[in-house]
Amino acid sequence: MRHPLDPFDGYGSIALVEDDYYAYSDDSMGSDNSSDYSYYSPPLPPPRYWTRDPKPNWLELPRAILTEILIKLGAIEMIVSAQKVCTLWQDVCTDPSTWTRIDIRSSRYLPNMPYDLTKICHHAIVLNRGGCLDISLESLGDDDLLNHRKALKFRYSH
Amino acid sequence: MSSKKKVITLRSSDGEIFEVEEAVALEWLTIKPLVESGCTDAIPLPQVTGNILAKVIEYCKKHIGASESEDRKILYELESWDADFIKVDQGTLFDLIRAADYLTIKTLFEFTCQTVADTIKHKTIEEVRHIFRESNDFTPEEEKEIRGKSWWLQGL
Repeated sequence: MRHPLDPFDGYGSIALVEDDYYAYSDDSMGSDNSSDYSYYSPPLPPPRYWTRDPKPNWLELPRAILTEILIKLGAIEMIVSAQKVCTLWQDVCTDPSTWTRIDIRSSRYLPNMPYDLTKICHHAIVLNRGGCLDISLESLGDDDLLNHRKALKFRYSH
Repeated sequence: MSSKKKVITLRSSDGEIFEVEEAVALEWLTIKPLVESGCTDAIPLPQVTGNILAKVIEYCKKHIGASESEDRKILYELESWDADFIKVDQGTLFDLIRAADYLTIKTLFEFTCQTVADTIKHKTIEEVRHIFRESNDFTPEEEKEIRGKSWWLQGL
């Protein structure tokens, strides 16, 4: 639902826009040399020197580098939050090739962690669809997980 | 082994000339074959600007030999030097990652990627989107489904 006084709904609020338009045009615009359509045009973007900033476009980052960054973020964050950022990140986070190494070591945060790490680890193994080369775990693991040792090179530490 | 150190000349995309020791250049896998073949001309690096190349060289000079050191004091100093080194704006960090990837400098690449990962860690999804300027391109239905997913919480 649009607001009843939304100037861009095309109906019912032209008078308001006109008033605003003339109020501005008196002092800032000078003479009225623009076409009548300018009533309906969306607000101009801010001047270039406002929008210009040193922030890079991270979307230009090659996928391989993004994958590397997300791997370094760790399996827990990848599953719990990173995959919710956008479709590209979700795609990377659920790509089997991202999961050739599974690293669920975050013992520093473990006491306060509300997450079920065993479930996360199971999920990670599912995501990687059997191509996992190396799993690093700390302070967790149940019998099911340990069964993977037979098939995988499994590093388990307390 | 001769004590005289061989110097390799590099030219950045904006035409700046840099000289590095051969040992440093050998760590850069992209130009390693050129260095080994005894190239004496300036090696052009068309994807790296002068200011970034200067930082890359600074990092590699500091790290050569020191990374393998067993001495705890040296490693500790190196760590705090690294922390100062990476206090740069996002644009520089971005360029450093690209440069490290292009030149295939493993230590710098891992370090810069880790730095980015650390800045995202423990941030909300909105904060991450803001930092990376990723727009939320999920459809409302997908968004709802994703938001609802929380099987990883304990006791669920």
